Amino acid sequence: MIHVKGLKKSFKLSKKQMTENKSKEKQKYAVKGIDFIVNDNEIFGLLGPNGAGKTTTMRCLATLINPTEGSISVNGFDGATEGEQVRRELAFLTNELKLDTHFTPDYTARFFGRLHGLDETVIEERMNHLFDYFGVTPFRFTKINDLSTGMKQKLSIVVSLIHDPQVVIFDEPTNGLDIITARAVTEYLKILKSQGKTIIISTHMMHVAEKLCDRIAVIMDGEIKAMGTLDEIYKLTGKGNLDDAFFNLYETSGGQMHV
Amino acid sequence: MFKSLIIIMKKELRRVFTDRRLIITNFILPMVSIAVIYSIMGMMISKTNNDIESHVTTIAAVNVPAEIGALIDADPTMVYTSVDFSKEEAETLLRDDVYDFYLYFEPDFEAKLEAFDGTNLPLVEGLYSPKSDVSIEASYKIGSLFEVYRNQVLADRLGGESFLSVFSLSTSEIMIPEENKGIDRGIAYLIPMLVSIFIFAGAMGIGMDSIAGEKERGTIATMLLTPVDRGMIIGGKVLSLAVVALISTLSSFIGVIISIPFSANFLSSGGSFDMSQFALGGAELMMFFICMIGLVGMYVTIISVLSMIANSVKEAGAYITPAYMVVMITGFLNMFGSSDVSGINYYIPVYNNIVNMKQILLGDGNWGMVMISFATSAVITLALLVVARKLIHKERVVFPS
Ligand SMILES: Nc1ncnc2c1ncn2[C@@H]1O[C@H](COP(=O)(O)OP(=O)(O)OP(=O)(O)O)[C@@H](O)[C@H]1O
Ligand SMILES: [Mg+2]
Repeated sequence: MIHVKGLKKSFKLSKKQMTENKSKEKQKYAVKGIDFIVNDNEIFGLLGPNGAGKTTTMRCLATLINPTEGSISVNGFDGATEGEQVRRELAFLTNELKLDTHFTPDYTARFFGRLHGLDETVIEERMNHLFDYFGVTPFRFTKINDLSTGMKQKLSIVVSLIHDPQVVIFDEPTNGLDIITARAVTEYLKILKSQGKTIIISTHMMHVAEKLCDRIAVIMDGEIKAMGTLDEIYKLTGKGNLDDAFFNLYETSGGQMHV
Repeated sequence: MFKSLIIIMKKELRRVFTDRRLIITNFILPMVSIAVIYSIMGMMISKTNNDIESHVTTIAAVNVPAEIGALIDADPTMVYTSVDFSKEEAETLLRDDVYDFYLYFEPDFEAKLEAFDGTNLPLVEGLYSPKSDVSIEASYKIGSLFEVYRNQVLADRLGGESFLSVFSLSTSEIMIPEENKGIDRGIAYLIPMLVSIFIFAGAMGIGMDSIAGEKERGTIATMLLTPVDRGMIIGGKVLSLAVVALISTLSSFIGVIISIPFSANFLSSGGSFDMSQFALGGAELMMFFICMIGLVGMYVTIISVLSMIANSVKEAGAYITPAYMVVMITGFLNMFGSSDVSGINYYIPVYNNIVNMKQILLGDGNWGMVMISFATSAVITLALLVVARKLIHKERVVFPS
């Protein structure tokens, strides 16, 4: 269970960033007050254009960065005061988090298992299961440096799930993967859901969201423009698919389409 | 809690000691280059000395008295040629290294010497080139030659060599108890500086890579996702860095020891590098190690803090280089400055550790002073650890963009 209440996040801009953004503001609000709840046994999708604030929201959830305003709770633990427990409860995947390419998948998974305080036998079991499912086993003792992009991404997923967390937050998990590998990832998310986990994913692939998500929030410019089940979104926009619905929301929120 | 510190430390050490590139650049290369550089320096110095020693000094002399001619002839390392050119001409020839020395006796030198009445000293002039080592050496040789000649003349005047002695003076060394006997002063001055520099250099490369590098590559952020306290992450890195610094210092010293057969002449001012006197007692070794640990703590934490602030390895290098220079200067200061450290100077961090190490090597180690320097080092180290801990909790430090 995840509760996000009135979440705002601003970044102080450096002089360089200010000129890049062509703004005189010293602060940039990446998230401008959003609320949502994600239940157990549910996959919640965050959709939105580049720079909408999806990753920022998820990083706040993972306690990597602190909200400027508002609150977050993960399985009843408060993000601001109980960061350690929050991190025990969740898996977080995003492309800015990297694994040291000098080590092997075997050592990397063990290392993170240990940091989560798991027993060696538990680590071994989890590792065998996840390595088998994601096809990492043949590369178990290959340096990460020598793995393909897809294999690296799958290993990142394995490492993030090593402690079998209740909450799974994946930022663009199928990004850069071929359709077969992408399918393996989405299938695994379904398995996790069937185990009763609380899942949030962000994606730019509408078909992935359509097939996978129980509910969706469309974020634009740091605000939620629409939230609900697919049907509710279709009804709200009067469109029959997510692509069109997304464009509709973009235009009505003042976005300019350049064709 | 501390279990995670150990896990991180182990991972850091594994990172270093399974990476051939890091092993070579941080342990093998310093050892080999120190061994080679020191050996070459030593060989060059002894070659220069040998060259000077085996060189036959050539003297251009005007109006040489027979007695002096005989003295020169008696010395196989000197030859002279009787010439009649002027001082000006001699200068050019000396500048061109044709002769090593020019000696001019005034025409009635011998006559004046015979008729000497307390005034009107007979005149002899010498010229040498300060740019040429053999010419400088020649001026020393001529100096001692004239010393001999003067004694001959005086003995003649006074009626016998025995009259040259005025009194009998005897000076002896006092006995130094064995345990108190330090090593060669030159080495005692040099080693603390080397230890200090080796520790810093040993921690620098890997420190930048393990902190600024991990930030740059985004691998530190992945660790922040675990329940581990961020302070433990930085603590584990600092500890592993301390181990690396000590091992690297050791390997640099192996380099020094390898070079000793060739470098002894400049490592010790005297020329003898007596390893038997290297044996410090247990207490001395303990004191020396405590001083080293003090330096390790300060250097490793300062490197960590600077690497933390930097957003890339390159930037870290730019921040750490000035600190490295300060470390080198502190070492040099101790080599050339007087070792008379009293009062407030004993509380200057880094400097006090180095002075203590020197005193220990000289056989004058003092537990009280060692403890003072250890305490100041500990204060600095802890303060820097607190800073590092604060920094790793800062968003802008961990996620710059
Ligand atoms: N550390 C930072 N400093 C300044 N601005 C930042 C920082 N991180 C993010 N931003 C800005 O915040 C806004 C939201 O970024 P965010 O990464 O959350 O977007 P996103 O929805 O994940 O986009 P994308 O689909 O491209 O991944 C962007 O305008 C971004 O430039
Ligand atoms: Mg993003």
